[in-house]
Amino acid sequence: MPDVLVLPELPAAWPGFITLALLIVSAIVGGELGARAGVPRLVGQSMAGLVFSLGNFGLARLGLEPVPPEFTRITLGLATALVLFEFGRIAPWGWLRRNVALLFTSVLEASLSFMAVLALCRAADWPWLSALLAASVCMASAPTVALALRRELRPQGQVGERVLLLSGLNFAYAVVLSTLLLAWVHVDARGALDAWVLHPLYLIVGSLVVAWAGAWLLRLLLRLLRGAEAERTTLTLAIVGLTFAVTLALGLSPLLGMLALGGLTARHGTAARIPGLDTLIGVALVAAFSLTFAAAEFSDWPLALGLAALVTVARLGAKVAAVTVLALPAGLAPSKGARVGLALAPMSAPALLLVQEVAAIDAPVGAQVGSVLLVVVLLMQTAGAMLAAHALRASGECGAGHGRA
Amino acid sequence: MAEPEGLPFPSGGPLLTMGVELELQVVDRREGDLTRGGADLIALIERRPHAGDVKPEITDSMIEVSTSVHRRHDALLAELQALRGAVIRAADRLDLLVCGGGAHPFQHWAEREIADRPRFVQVAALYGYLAKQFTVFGQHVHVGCPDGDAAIRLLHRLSRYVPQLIALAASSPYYQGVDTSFDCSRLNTVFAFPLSGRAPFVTDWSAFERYFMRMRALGVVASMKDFYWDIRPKPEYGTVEVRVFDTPLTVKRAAQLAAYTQALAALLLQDDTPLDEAIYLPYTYNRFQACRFGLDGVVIDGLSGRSQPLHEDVLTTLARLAPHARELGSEDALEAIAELVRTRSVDARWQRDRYERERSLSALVHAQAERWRTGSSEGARDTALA
Repeated sequence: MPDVLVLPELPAAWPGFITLALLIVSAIVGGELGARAGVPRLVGQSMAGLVFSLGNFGLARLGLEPVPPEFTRITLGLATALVLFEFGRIAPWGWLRRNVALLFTSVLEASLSFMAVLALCRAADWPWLSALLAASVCMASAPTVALALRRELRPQGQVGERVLLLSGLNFAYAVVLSTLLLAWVHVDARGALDAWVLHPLYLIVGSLVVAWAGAWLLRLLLRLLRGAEAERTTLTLAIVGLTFAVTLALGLSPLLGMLALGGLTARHGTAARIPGLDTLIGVALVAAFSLTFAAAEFSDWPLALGLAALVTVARLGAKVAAVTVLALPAGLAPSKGARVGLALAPMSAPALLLVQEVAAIDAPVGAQVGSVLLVVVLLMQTAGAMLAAHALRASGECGAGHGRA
Repeated sequence: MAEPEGLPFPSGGPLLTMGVELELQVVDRREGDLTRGGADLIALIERRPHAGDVKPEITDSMIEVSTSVHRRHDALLAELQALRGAVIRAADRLDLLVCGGGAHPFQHWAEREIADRPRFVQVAALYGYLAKQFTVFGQHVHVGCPDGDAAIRLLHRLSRYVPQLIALAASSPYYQGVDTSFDCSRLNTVFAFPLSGRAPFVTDWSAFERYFMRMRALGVVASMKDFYWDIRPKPEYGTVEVRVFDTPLTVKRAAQLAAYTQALAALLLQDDTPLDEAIYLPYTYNRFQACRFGLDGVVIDGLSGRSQPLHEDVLTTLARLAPHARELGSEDALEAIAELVRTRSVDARWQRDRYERERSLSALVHAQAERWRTGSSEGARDTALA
């Protein structure tokens, strides 16, 4: 009789990486189920992450350790970095030179959403710093969602292109403004008055300089690697990782750095095309959406829900109103302008990363802003994404076979 | 709108007037691919008064611009330039590129969307995938005729020169991502339609009218628009419409081709020899030679049986057209055509040279867009994401 005792005993607890793998598998399945139900895949992927987050207790009973928080943070950061890089590459930045009304539209929609959220937070007796931080983060739409919907629905036309541009711009405003407000946190936390000027300058200029250096290096090496597709893709990935790591190590803004790296690379157009990157971006998007809520703490959500709902509605109303009002001067019918405004609804992981940067410096402010914004992001990464998908489809820009998510 | 009973052709209209229609590509600035933007572009152009007319075409990646009626080449060119300016200004505001060329070099026809107009929806329902493949871009030149009989005579006599017109305008060497080896690949797409090719050999307007009424009674056509012939009469305008040109890469070339057609018409309307159907014997062969080899194609005269290279045929014709060009004020335009033949600087050759230099069809489209904008043969180095 064979000796079955040579087999090892089952582990008492399965490592967190198994949980992570199961999370990704669940996200893929959730995305597919979502697609079959007519909603964007990213909604199903996000919900899978949420279920894992809420089901931590159940996971423990199955002997599954949670996903290591450090690993979640790094993976989410790298995935977001890659997505922002790609977003920076494809967003039509040069359009602003040819249609200045789009810049006014962008400034108006971001300002109105900022003021609407600020007013609500102040009305809820939040201190100025927390209210300003929440308002600045809420200016941003979600480049990740915009990119995911673009890949899934493949819109061709004015609504899809304007969503890309306006999402990129309002995200940049949010990063810059929250960076300036971080300087305020520095002042409060450390009392260093010179941080008002030097620290923001360092963060913004430093991030752009690192991005410029990364873009220069990438363009230089890509020219040497014409035709070597695998090497071009790997090189791009390495430079993105390098730029991300350098901005982190120097205490700069990796979000701004990645967006700028993409924008500066794309300026060289067709010569800088990297088709092999496409699959990696798809992987990064799945990781970003499934991990957004996987490690989130939802303990305060009942308290935050009311304010979060008001913030969501006010923010969306401000964006739709601004883009609709300025649609005609920007060369578009107001009805299409309204659809652009609706498609700016989504928020996603980068907004939470901005809040995390605050929490690292001032934990109470970070906790207050984070409790509400987590719920806002949850709503806007799911319902907001569905609204954006609906707006894109209603614009008639999604071709046959791509109109359903 | 329903066709009136019969098919009256107006008599006594201005002779040898001309007008031009150009089908243009609406292109995404990022990749250089065709994109949906025709409807938004037209809506924006129409907000302000502008020269000529702008209309949708069968898919939303195309628009058609057309001029008013002219007799002189310089006035036609001025209107085309004004029209180009209006289109480019609107396209810039929408971050679109617009360019000439008979076919987009790498678009996938299956991705095209039929424009939301009853006629286009009807065409798509009838022709299936051919309708989306019809996303090719041509120039149509109208020439005013004194009456229907003259229009029919001109139509048949012009058919002898169709290979010349194809070769001079050829600008569709690349299609669906490959070099087709044709200078003009566009007409192969048009040829798939059952009502394409040449008009029937009827020799006066009343016979043509009977032919049309019979075809309509049979349910084959509903209107003259259903004929996709290389040359067709256009009774509502009092013109003959020549439809074999690829859309050139510049408005200057478009105006020169119109002036050449006008001068040809002036020459041919003076010809009172009887029509002979033998002119059509080598028609499709000559047409193929012109599409495939451009000005180096060898064509056969159906009446004399003589063969000669197209470039020689054009230069011989130009010599016969000289007095008419003087009278019509189009000597400069015809001299430009002669220079084009001598140097073989057709658009298809420019496109192939450009591709050899850049090794990128996307870069070629961007260069075509810059050439359309500036009229310069150099075009842009790379306007992607600029």
